[in-house]
Amino acid sequence: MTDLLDIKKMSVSFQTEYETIDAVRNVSITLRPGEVLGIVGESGAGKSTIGNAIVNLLEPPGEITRGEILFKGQDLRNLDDKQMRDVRGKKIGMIFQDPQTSLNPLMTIGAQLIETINKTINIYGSEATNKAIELLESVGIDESEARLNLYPHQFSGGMRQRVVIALALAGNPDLIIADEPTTALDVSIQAQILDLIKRLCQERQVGVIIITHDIGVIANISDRVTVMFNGQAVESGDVKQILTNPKHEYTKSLIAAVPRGDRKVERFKSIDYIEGGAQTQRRIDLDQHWLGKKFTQHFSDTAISINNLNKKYSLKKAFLKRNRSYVHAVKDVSLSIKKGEIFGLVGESGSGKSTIARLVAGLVRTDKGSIKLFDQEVTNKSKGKDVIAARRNLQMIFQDPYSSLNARMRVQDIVSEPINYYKTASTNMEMRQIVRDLLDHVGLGSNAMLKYPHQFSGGQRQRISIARALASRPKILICDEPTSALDVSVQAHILNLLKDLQDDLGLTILFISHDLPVIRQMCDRVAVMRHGSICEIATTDSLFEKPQHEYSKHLLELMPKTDF
Amino acid sequence: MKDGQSLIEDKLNSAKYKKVLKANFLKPATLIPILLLAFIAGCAIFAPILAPTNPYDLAIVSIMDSRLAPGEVMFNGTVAWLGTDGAGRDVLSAIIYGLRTSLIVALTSAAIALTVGIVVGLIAAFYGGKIDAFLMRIVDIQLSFPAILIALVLLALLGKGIDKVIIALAIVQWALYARTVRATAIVERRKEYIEAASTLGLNNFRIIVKHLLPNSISPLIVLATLQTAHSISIEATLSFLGVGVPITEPSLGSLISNGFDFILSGAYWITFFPGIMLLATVAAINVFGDQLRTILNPRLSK
Repeated sequence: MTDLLDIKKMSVSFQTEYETIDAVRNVSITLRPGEVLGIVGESGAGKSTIGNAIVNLLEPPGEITRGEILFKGQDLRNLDDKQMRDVRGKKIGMIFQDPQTSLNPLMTIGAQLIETINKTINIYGSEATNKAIELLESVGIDESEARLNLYPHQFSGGMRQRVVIALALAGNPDLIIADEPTTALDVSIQAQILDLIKRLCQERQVGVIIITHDIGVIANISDRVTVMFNGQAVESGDVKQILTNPKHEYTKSLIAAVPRGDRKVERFKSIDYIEGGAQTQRRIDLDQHWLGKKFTQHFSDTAISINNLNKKYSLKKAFLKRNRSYVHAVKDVSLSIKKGEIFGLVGESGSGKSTIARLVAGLVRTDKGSIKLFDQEVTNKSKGKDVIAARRNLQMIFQDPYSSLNARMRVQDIVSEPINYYKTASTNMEMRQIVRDLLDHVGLGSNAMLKYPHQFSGGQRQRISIARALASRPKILICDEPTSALDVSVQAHILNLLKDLQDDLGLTILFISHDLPVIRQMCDRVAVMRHGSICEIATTDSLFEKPQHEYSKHLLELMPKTDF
Repeated sequence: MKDGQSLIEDKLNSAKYKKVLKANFLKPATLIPILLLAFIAGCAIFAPILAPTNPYDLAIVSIMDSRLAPGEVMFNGTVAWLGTDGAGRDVLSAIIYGLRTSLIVALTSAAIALTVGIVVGLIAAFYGGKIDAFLMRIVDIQLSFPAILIALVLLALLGKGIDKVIIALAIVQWALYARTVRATAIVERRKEYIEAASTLGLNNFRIIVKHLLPNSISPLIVLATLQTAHSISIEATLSFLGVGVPITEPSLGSLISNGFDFILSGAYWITFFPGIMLLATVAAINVFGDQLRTILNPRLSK
C-alpha cells in the first residue's frame, strides 16, 4: 500500500529580527490510509506546528524551511493558495481543540454543514440537505433532521465536537488532522469521541493524525505514534512497542510521569529529563523549622467537617421569587476529613467539586449547612479572633497558575505577604531568610526572589503558589485541580512535591481533580461527586478495586487505560 | 494547556514588544509631541523667567501700549513680538502665563478626578451587587449630561475663581475614570490571585490597594492623557464664556475671549496667538496619548 502522507525531513522556523525559533526540526512522518498516527509531546514541542504546516496554515512569520510534504505523491509545498484551499476542504479535514470556537455561533448547524458541502462536493438543494443529515447520523447524532435547525449553543460540548467532525468529513477527505480533539471534553465524552474517530477512520479508510499531550488518548486510539520533544521527533513506531518499551530517555520519563490508574506508586520516578525541578529537596524538621513554630498547639483529629452543605447559584435574577431560577451546585453534602489525610473529590465538570472548595475556603457564602475547621465553626463568618485563626490554617492552591499570582508583584513580595501581614517574622532579614528557605523547599531556588511571575513557566508558577500558601503556616491545603493546566511531566513534579510536603508537615489536603489516575496516586480517601451530591465515599483502593455506586463504576470504565 | 503555537507567539510577542516600544518612541509621531510638550511644560514652569513682562504687574501695564501690532515696541522699550491686548499687556507674556493657568487647572482637576474615579470604580468592582449598582447609576446620570453643561451650572452656583474651575472640572471628569477602572477591575476581581489574597486572610482594604489597584490602572494612563487635553479645552470654553478663571489671572481661554472683542477691528493677534497655542497644546497631548496607547498595547499596531 502506498503512503497517504509522507513528510520528509521537514523543518519549520519562526524568524524574528532577534532570533530564529526552530519550532520543528527534521521531522519525518508517514501515514497510510485507515491508520491513526498519534503525535504526542508537551507544550512547545512543536506538535501543533506540524499539523498547521501540513495544511499550510502556519501563522506568520512561521515558514517551512526545508523538507517535503508528499500528499498522495504530490508535494503540498508546491501548490499555490487556491489549490491549497481546495486541498484543505476536500482532501484534508481539520478538527480543532475547542468546539466552542470552531463553529460559527450565528449560523445553524445545518447551514454550516450545507455551506461546506456546497463548496467541497458541489451538490446543492435537497441533495445537500440529505447529505448533511447523513453526515450527522454517521457521527452519531440522532434526530439529525430536526437538529439541522439548531444553533451551536444548543448543543453540549461533546455534540459540538461531533458536528465539527461531521464538518471535517463533509468533503470526503483522505486525511483528517485532529489537534487536541478531546482536551476540552469530559472523560466520558472523550471516550465516545475517540471511538467515533477510530470507527470513521476504519470505515472510510481515511488517515488520521491525532495531535495530543495525553498519552492515554494515544494508547486508546492510535496505531503508531511519534514522540516530539523540543521540535524533534525523538521516537516513532508502533504504539504498543513504544509505550511498553521506550528507547529514548525522554519517552521513558514521559511515560513514567503518566499517573497510573491501576495501582498506586510511591513517587513518580525518573522524570528528570525535562524541567529540572528535582533539586535536592531537604527534609523539613518541624521541631526546628520556622514552619513548625506554631504547630505545638492542640488540634482536634477532624480537620474539616462539613454538614449538610447546600449552595445554589442563581441563573436568572428576578424581582418576584417565582421567576427566579437556580442551579443547585452543592446538595446536602456531608463529609469529614481527618487530620493528616489527603482527601480526594472527583467528578466531571459541573459536579460541584470546586464549589465545595470555595465554600470551605470562605470565598463564597453558604446557603445552608455548616463547615467546621478543627471544630471551629466558620460558616459565613470572617470576623472574630477564633474564626480568623481557624481560617489561617487553611490555604488554597488554584488551577490556573497564570492568573493566581499578582503579575505586578515580585516573587519575594508574593511569598512574604502573609508573613508581613501577620508579622510572623521579627525582622526584614528574617523574613527574607524564610522566603528564601520556602522557595528552596518548593524547588525554585532563591534567585527567583527578585523576578516577576511572568518570567516563570506554568509549573514554576504553581511552585510559587505553593510557597505562598506555606508562608502562612497552614494545616490544611485545598488543591483545586492544581495540575490540570500543566504538562504531564511537570504535573509529576508538582504531585511529588505536594506528597513530600504532606509527609514533612503533616498537612491535611483536600485534593480536587477530574483526573482519576491522579486521584489514585495522591489520595487516601475519595468522594465521587455528581450533580452536586456525593455518590460514594471510600478509601482509594476500595473505590478503584470495588466501586459500589453505579456512577463510580461508569467513571472507572471510562478511565483511559494506562496498563500498557 | 498552553500549546506550542501560543508559546511561540509569546516569544515572538516579547521580542516584538521591545522592538515596537523602541520604534514607537523614536518615530516622529511620538517624538514631536513629546518635545512640544516638554517645551510647553518648560514655558509654564519657568514663566516668570521666560516672559518678557509680567502681565499681572499692574505697575508696568500701560494703556498707552493698547493693541500694538506684533513686532512693535512698547512704551517701556520691550518688543511686543506677538503684539499687545486691549489693556496694553504683552500677548507673548500673557500666553506664557496663561499656559501656566491652563495646565494647573487641567492637571489638578485630572488628579482629583482620577483619585475619586479610581476609588469609586474599585469599590464598585470589588464589592459588586447593590453598592456597584448604586455607584454606577450615579456615574450613568453624570455621564448623561454634556460636560460643558454641568460645568456651566456648577460655576454659576460656585462663582468665579481658579479653585472653582478645578472643582467643576473634577466633578465633570470623575465618572469617566470610575467607569473605566471598574471595567478593568471587574475582570481582575474574578482572577484567582484575588481569591488567593482573601484566603490568606488579608483585609479588603489591603486587597484593593495592593492587588486590585496596580492591576487595574494601566488603561487609565492613556485615558488620563487624552482627558487632560479635553479638560484644557473645556476650561478654555468656560473662560471664553466668561464663567471660568478671572481676567486678572488669564488662561488661554480667557485670552481668546478677551481678544474676541477686537477681532473685527483688525487686532487679530490678541485671539489668534493664544488660539494657536491652545491648538498646539491640545493636539500635542492628544497625539501623544494615541501613541501611548499604541506603545502600551502593541497588538493595536499590527
